[in-house]
Amino acid sequence: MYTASAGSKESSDCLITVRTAENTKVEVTSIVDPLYHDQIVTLINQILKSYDAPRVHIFCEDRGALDYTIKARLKTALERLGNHAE
Amino acid sequence: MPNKSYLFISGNKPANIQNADIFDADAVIFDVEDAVAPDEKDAARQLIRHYLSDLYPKDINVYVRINGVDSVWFDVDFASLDKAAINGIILPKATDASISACEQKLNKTKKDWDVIALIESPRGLTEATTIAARPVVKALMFGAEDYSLAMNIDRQFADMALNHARNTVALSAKAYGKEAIDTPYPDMRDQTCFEEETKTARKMGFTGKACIHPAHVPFINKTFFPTDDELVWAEKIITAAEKHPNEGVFALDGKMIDEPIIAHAKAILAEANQDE
Repeated sequence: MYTASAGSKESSDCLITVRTAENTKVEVTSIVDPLYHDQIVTLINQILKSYDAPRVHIFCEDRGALDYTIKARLKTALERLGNHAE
Repeated sequence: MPNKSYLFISGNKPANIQNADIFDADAVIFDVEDAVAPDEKDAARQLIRHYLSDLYPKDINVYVRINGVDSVWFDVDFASLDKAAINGIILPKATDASISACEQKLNKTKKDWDVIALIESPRGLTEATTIAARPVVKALMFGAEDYSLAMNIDRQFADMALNHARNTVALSAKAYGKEAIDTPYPDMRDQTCFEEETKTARKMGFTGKACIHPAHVPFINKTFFPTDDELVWAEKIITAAEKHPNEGVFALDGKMIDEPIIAHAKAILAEANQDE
């Protein structure tokens, strides 16, 4: 099992941890959970689909990150996971 | 017109990146070099790339300080900005050889980015004029911290050595009509010294100054903008010149006024009008 992460828990950032898994699963906790939880999950799923990512468990701890930050952190974490697996 | 203020922003801090255009700096420099730890440079590249793609800053010139030509990250930094609509790059530890290598890379990848050469080593300083002469170079920027380290001098107390270096950077840049950007002032607590250094930079002929904290931007902008006295003087010169259209030189208030002085007055007014 491989794990990688990217980002931080600073304001306007998110910490994304990805782990190889048998099935893809996305979990999100957010300081703006009621408003943006579903939107963040949808965004992550969109990126996973476009990235042709392997099956992974993704855990996103959001601190008010905008979409561009979530995309960037997720892509970084996936690339780091790929580097671990090589 | 030259940019007066250049604000450095760490390339790995979303909170700072997405506020790049609210501080009134003429230019922002997203930094993937010294402001980002080696293990986080991949994250910074992705963050900058997605920010520029999704939320391009408004009414501000955008530069990226990439890692040096001799570093393991130069090529990947370059590639990560492939589709980025930036004005240019800052090349750290600039020497004539590194600028040449960067120029070849730009030609090969058909990019029309400006290059700001960061002069922060003894060798870079001795080659400043040659670097400024290269068409791809838009500006020379002086980096006092790394320069002081290389020279083994104390940045805080080495006025004589540093002013010589600053003068050389300003002179070399101006010799080829390039912008000259002074080094950032590092101590946020010392406003007096920051202001003195900024005013000195203007007197040395620098066209702007870099900074690492947004609070320094307003004073830099004000210092490198024509003063009220300069504007009054310039308008007086132009008005007088219009009254002597066919004379190569004339007297005004007991002083000789010729073409270079008139050109200087025009430049001051142009600079003021550019910012309005």
